[in-house]
Amino acid sequence: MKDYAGPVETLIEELRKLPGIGSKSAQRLAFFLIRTPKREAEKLAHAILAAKESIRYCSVCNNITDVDPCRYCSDPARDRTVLCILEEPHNILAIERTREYHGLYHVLLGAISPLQGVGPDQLEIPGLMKRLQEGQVKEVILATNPNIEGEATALYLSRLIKPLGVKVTRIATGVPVGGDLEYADHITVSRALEGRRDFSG
Amino acid sequence: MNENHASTEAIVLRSYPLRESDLIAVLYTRQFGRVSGVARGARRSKSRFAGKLEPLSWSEVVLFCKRNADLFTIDSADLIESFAQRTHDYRCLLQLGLVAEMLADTTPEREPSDPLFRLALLVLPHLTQAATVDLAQLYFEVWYLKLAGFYPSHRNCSVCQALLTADSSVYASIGASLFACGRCQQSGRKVSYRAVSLLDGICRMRLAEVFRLESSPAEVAELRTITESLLQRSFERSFRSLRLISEEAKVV
Repeated sequence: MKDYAGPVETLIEELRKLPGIGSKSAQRLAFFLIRTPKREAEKLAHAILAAKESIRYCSVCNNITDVDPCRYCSDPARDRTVLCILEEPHNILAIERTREYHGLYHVLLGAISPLQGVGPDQLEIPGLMKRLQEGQVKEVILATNPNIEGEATALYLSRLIKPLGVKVTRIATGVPVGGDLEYADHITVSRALEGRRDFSG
Repeated sequence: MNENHASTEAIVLRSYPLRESDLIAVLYTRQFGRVSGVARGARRSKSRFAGKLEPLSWSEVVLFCKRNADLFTIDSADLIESFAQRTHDYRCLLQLGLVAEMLADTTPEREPSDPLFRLALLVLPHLTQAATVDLAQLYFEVWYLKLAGFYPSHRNCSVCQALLTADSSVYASIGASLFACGRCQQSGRKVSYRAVSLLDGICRMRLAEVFRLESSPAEVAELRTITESLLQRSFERSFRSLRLISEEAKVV
């Protein structure tokens, strides 16, 4: 026997499919939506549908966009000799927030995961190689996450890209700003020491 | 340490995001075997867990378990070694991944095995170096199967019990009888005697001694084909990492 009326059960079931939403959270969201005025619920449903219908992957860099190519790929002010490689489209925001990077992006839409059985063939690597073979890119920044999946992906890509004569760099890893050396593990500190650079005070 | 808290060494096998900033880590611990635990706030960049619960880390963890709860709470972790961070070789990372997958998917939950824990810790450092990775992985696979009770004797024919010597033709078939002499089993894969000798060394010697044996990459590859087929048959599953490893072997 169902606990709630059919449409409520269906709504809870659909909300439970969202990442990070368990059954309790799904129930809470469902009852919030039921109490919400119909106009607000329609706005939410319309926003979901509009995003679903108008958003696509950029045919050049795989960023999510409503125009193709995306605004980064079509911006003439961006440096076309540097390419930053990321795992997911939302990683672009993390780089953009720095305001330090003015090159282009390439999103792999995942990372090699030996533990999950995700191989290089499941990533957007052919498009990347095609862009590099065009010869405009002089430096590739491997900005995959500093975890086992990101490292495996970076190692695989560097082996693939270096023979093309393109400079390959990896984002630095180490102690976070505001962090405390006392609480950092020795691997992090050794990475920070490896990646030390000249300092001019 | 009260009855609900325990400090134990653990190898992190997998980790999954949970909610906004938490993490579920699957651990192979010395004291409890394979367990899963929640680390609160572990995904924050300034978390006290940062980097200590990455897969293939060896850490000293403090676990807390409520009565009848499925998941432990990971109170703290002190990193001893991070094997994945020690290597800059793609092939080594894939082999490390296979060890983690085997421990995560084929060991029973909450059944400790000190020999298995020691075997993993013995082999993992050698899986971070390209020069030793293949032989160390073979050593792990053979002993993993032996500890699980799946590795048949390679010294006698499994059909007629005749001693397999340098003069015998040895055949390996991933059927009911693995190693057989030429008279009993004409089908299956013929195994070189040097490969059988290497297998004998692996079963008798410590890993450091096995490294000193003269073995060729071809013999190691020959035995790994057999052990990996046996692994998949014995545990009735195909290992995802093996697909990536065989694709990488084709590239190399």
